[in-house]
Amino acid sequence: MSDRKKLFIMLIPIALILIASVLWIILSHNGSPKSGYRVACIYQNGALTEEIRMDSLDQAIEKTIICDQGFNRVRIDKTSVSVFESDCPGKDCTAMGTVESEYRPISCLPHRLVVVIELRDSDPGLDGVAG
Amino acid sequence: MVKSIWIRMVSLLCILGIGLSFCACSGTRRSASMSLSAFGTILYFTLYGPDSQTIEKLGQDLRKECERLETVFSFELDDSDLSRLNLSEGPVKVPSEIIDVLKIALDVGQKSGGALDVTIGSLIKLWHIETNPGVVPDEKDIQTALAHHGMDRIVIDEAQRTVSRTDPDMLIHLGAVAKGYLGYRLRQIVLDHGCSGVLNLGGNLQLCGSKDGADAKWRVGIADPFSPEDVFAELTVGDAAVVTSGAYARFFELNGVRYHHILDPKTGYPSESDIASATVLGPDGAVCDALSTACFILGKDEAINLIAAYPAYSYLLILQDGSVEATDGMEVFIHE
Repeated sequence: MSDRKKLFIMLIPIALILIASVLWIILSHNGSPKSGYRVACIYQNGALTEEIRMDSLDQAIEKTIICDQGFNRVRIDKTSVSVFESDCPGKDCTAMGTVESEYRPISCLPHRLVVVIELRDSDPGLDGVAG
Repeated sequence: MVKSIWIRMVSLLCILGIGLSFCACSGTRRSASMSLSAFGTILYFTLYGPDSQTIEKLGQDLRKECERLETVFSFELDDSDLSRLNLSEGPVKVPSEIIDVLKIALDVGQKSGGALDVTIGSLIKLWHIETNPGVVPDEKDIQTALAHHGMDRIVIDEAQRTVSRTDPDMLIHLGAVAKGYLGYRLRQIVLDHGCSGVLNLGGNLQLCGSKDGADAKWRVGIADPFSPEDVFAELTVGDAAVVTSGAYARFFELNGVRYHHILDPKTGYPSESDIASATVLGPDGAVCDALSTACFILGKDEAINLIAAYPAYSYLLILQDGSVEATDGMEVFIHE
């Protein structure tokens, strides 16, 4: 076999290794910041039960969430979330009003419900709100 | 000659491949959110870690610790360690966590001239705004409750790990400090798992580690006390607790008067001062919690004097007229 041919055969695995490495980098950085979007998240009893992408909403939607202790009615639109009706005793959730900030949860303790806006695939804005 | 070229090329590409592999492995962090109900509120955590399994295990350990500490500090649970202390006479052996929290409360209580007082359990039970909103207690009952409080009625024996109440009608309530302490304990668990995160404990924030695992800081909002669904100001904060006390979260209104949940130990009624909300930042969440409550009750001038006794802690006071007082040098971005 000529020297040239031997060289060519040696280069094939090297090229494959290079290509594989580049592909690995591209695929493993799928968590890198991109232009993000906001989702309205509903947690019941600590578990995430629903996620709604807010920029996909042409008009506001309303959901009734029922638990053993009662109900909450939630409104979600392109920019905000709110709990506008509830049969819980304290009504802290409805008193919260309309929330537009991320990571500012609306909580209904008696019904163990949390409604919160979260960011996906983005450099986040605020990381939390105290108060 | 071909052999030497081959050796050089393979060596070069191996080095390149290893370098590219390190590039691929670094900088990727996973995140997850979770919520749970404990300490009379909803806790909401945003966690960052190296992989999903680590974060999942972290979530389980955080949940376990919340549940454990609730059995220590709960005023409402009949079989909590705190309730056992409140129902017993003489020295009672208690978990070290109760002694830790009481020491912080006693220190802040003494320096605040009694504005923070964890011995007003009878008074809190009388008002109990969360479960009994809309009812103003009778003045006679308030005075009876006030007759049985005072931090000098707590005796701590650290060597024996016991606490005694010298007045059997005096009840200890740790609501002004316990959530901050919870955040402080949970923070260590987050860091021990090699993770970072933001723990929202019913409005108390505990920031754990750094945002990107290196040294990036967190962006934190302070709720607008005049419009609580909005953000009044933003801060950039590292690994610290941020605790805000205000009258807008738990209250009821009766005949045009707002009755909120932060009681003044001197009057027995919801406190009144020139402060709309008091935020304290610092390394220990329990101290932040105690200080923010005391500051809210004291008012601006005495609050600033109080914080001066804690050099590692900073404050942001939003006053009733909308103006702001903050620690010198604190970078605050106020929303228009």
